[in-house]
Amino acid sequence: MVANERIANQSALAADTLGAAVAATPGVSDWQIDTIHDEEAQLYLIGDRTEARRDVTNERARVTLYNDHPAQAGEGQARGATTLTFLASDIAHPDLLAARLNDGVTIASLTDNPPYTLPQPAAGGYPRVETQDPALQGEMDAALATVMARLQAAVAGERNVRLSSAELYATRTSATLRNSRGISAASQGTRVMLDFVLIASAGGREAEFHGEFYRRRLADLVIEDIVRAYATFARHSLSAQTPPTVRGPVLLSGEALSNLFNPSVGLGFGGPYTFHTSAEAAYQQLSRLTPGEFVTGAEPRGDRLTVSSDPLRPFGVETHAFDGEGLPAARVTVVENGVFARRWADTRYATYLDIPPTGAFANITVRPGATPIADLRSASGGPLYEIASFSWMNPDNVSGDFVAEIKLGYRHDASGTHPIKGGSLAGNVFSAFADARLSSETYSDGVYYGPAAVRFAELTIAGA
Amino acid sequence: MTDTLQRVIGELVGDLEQRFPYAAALLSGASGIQISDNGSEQSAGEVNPSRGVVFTVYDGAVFDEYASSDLDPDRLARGVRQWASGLTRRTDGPPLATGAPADGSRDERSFQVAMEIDPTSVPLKDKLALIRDIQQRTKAMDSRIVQAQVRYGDTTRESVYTGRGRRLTQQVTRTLLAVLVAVSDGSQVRYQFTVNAGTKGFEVTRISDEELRKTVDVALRLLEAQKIEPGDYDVVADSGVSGVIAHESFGHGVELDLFPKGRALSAQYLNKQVAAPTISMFDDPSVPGGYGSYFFDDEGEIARPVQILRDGVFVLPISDFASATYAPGEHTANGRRQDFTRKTYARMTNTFFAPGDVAPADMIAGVERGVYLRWPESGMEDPMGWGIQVTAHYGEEIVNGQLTGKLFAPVGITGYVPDVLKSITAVGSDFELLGGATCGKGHKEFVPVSSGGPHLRMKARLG
Repeated sequence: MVANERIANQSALAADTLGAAVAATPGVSDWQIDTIHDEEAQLYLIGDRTEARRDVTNERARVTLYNDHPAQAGEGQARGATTLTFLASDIAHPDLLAARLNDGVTIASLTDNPPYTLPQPAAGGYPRVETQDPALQGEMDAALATVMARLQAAVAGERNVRLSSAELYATRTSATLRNSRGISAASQGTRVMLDFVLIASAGGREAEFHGEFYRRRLADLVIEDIVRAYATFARHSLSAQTPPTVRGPVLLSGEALSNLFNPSVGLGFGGPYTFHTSAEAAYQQLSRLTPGEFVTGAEPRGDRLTVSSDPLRPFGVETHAFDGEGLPAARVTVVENGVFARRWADTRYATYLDIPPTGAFANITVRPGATPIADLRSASGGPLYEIASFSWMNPDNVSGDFVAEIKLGYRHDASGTHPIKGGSLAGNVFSAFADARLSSETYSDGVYYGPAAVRFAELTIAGA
Repeated sequence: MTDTLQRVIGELVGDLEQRFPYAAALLSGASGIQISDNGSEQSAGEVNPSRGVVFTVYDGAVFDEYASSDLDPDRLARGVRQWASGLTRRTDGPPLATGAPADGSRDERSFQVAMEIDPTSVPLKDKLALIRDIQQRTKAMDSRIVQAQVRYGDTTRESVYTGRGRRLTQQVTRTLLAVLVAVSDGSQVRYQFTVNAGTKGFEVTRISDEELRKTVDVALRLLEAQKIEPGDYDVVADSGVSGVIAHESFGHGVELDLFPKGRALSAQYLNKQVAAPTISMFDDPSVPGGYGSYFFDDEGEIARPVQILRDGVFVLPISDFASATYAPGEHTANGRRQDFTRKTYARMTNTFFAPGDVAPADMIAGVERGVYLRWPESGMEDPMGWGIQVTAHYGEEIVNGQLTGKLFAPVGITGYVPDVLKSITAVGSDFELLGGATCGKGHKEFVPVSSGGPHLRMKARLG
C-alpha cells in the first residue's frame, strides 16, 4: 500500500528518524513500528443546550522491540518483546531516544517466551476495504452539528419523550505499520460514536433509555430510526413490570442478542466465543472447545450456530485491510453448523500451536436462521419472555456463564405483549445454543452482524 | 514535562483568562511498568503513557477544550492560539464560581504519594524474579491448576493543573499485584483471583503462601459450584460486594452532572431518608493508599471527603466544575477524566459504607437460611430507575448460622436501590477497600477506583 500523503503533511512525528534509530539500536532481533494519528471532534448536549465542544489531536508511535537470547531456564533460544510509545517531542532528542530504545531492548532481553517470527509482506498484497466516511473528510464539527440537529428534530417528533443528553464523536485515523521483515502498510479510517439518553414521561412517572452506537460512517447512524426505536423503549419502560421467576423459553432480540457475542462494543475486546475459539486460549489451556466437536457439548436440537470473523465487511467497526501485525485480512469461520471448525490465531500463537495464522478476530458474523421473528415469538404454548436490552451483559469469558439485569423486555402471552424490566437473566453462552432457533431477519451493532433474534428453549429469569 | 513547556502553558492560560470567565490547562502523562507471567509466557512493558495537554475555556455558556499530544512548546502555542481565536465570550449560560483568589495570590504546591518502597527503585530484573516466584509457588500448589497467572503493574500519573491562581503538581503512583488461578477437572475450567492494589508502592507485592493457598482452594471448590435457585434471600455481603453495592447505588446515582440532565432520581431525595438509619456512606479521594485516591482532581480541586449518606439520609452529591453550577451547588473534588483525550465528568474515587459494630461472624451466625456473597465481579448503575445489578464471583450457602461449604457461581444481585439499602439489618465492624478496579461512566470513560466498607447483612434478589 502507498504511504499516505495526508499523514506526511500533518504529522509532527518524525517516523523516519524513529525508524533509523530503531534499526541502529543494538540487540534488536526484530521490530515493528506503528504510527497512529487521530483527529477527533466531540460535541456534548444537555437537553437542547450545548454543554461542551472538544477538539482532540492524538499522535503517537508504538515501537515493539524483540530480543532473541538464550533461554534463562532450559536450553535453546527465547524471545522477549516490549512496546514503547513515543510522542513527537520524544523523537526530537536523539540521545534520549537512543537511551529509551536501549532500555526497551533490556526489558525485552529479560523476558523469556518460546520463539516466533513476525509476518512477512503478503504475497497477494492487502485487500481493499471500506473504512472511510467521505462525509468526515471536511469540517467534522459542522458534520456533528448537523447530526445533532437531526437528533433534536427526531426527538421533538416523539410523544412524551425528551432528550436528556447526547454525546457525539467523530474520529479520523491515519495509521502506518512497518516491521523488520519488510512489511510497510498504511491505512485510513473514520469512526463515529453516539451516546444519548431519552426520558419518557407520563402521569408523573419518568423512565430513561440509554443508547450507545459505534459506526464507521455518519450515514450508518440512522438517527430517525434509532430515535423512534429508543423512544418506544423509553415509553415502554414507564409501564414495565418486574417479571416472575421462571425457567423456560426466552427470546433475545437486537442489542440484547448482539451483546451475547460482543459484550463490549466500543471497548475493543470480544466475548466468550471470541476467546474460546482463539489459539491463545488453547495454548493457555483455557479453551473449552475441541475442533470437530459441537460447541454446545452435545449435538444441538435446534438451529446450528455458524460464527465467523469478518474483517472485510464494508464499513464494519472492526474492518481492516491488515491486522495489528500486518497480516492480510481474511474471513475466518470458527464455528460451522454448531461444530468448532478452527482457531483464529496471530503469528505468535499460530507458531506455538503449529497452525496457520488467520489474523486478529474482527467483526463477528453469525449466520441467520430461517424463521421469521414473528414465528419465534408465537411458537409457544405458554408465555414467552423477550429481552430487548440488558443493563450490562458481561459474560464470564472463561466459563461462559452470564447473569445480567433486564433493562427492558416483553412478556408475550394470549392477552398481548407487556413490557417487563428488573430481575435478571442467567445462563451460559455455549449451552444456551444447545436448543435455539435463529431468526431470518438480521441486526448489526457495527461489529456484530447476524440474526436479529434468537429463541432459547431454556434460560432462567430471576424475577419477583 | 519541561520548564519551557510549563512556562508556555502558564502564559497561554494567562492570555485565555483575560478573555474568558474561566481558563485552565491540565498537563498529564503516565509512566511505569506492567508485567505478566503465566509460567509459559512472560511480558514486560511500559504502561500506556497517555501523555498530553488539554486547555479548557468556559466562554460564558459552553466549555470548549483543545487537547493535544503534541508537547512541542512552539507548535502547542500556535495550535492553542488558533483554536482560541475562533472562540467568543458569551453571557447566556450559567455563571461559574471559579474560586480564584480575588487578591491575585498564587497557590503553588506539589504532591507525591507516600510509599514504603518506591517501585522505580526496584530493578526490573528483581520485579520479574518476584513475579515468577509467586507464579511458581502458586502453580505448585495443586496438579489441577491449568494456569496460574500473575500480573504486576506500577503506574505513576503525573499531572500539572494551571488555572484559578493555582499551579498544582502531583505524582500519583498506583501499584497492583493480581493472581488468577484457573483449575480444571477435565470437563470445565473455573478460576479465582486475588488483588492487592492501592496508591502505594512495591510493598503491595507481599503475598503469603496462605493467601495463595486460599485462592487455589476457592478455585478448586468452584469446580463443584452450582447455579443458585433464583429468589429472594437473606444475604451477608463481604466488603467487596458491599462496596460495589455502594458504588452502583448511591455512587453513580449521586453524580451531580446527571442532575441537570434529569437522569438522577436522587435529585428528589436530597435530605431525605433513602437507606437504613445505620448506613453512612462516603466518597473520599483523600484516603491514604486508596486505589482511587489523588491530591487534586483534574480541575485543580484539592481532594477531600464527601459524606453522601448520613444515617441513611442523602446529604451531598459529588460534582465536577460544570455540574457544581447546579443545585445544591457545592463543588467537590470529583472532576475526573480518563485521559487528556476525554472530557471531565463527576466521578467516584474511593466509595464505601462506614463501618458499624457487628462482627461479620455474628452476621453469618444470625442467618437461618441464606447466602454469603463473595468477591465482586462487576456492577451496573441505573441512576434514574434505581435498579441495581451486581455480580458476585460466588456465594456460599448459610444454613442455621453456619457456612455449609456449598458454593453457587456466579451470583447476580438485582433489586430496587431503596429496597436493598433499607433492608440492611446489620453493618459490620470490619472495613476493607478493594482496589485495582476501573469504573466507567456508562460503558466508557474508565478511571481507577476502589470500593468497599464493612460486611453488610440484607435481603436481596439473587439469580
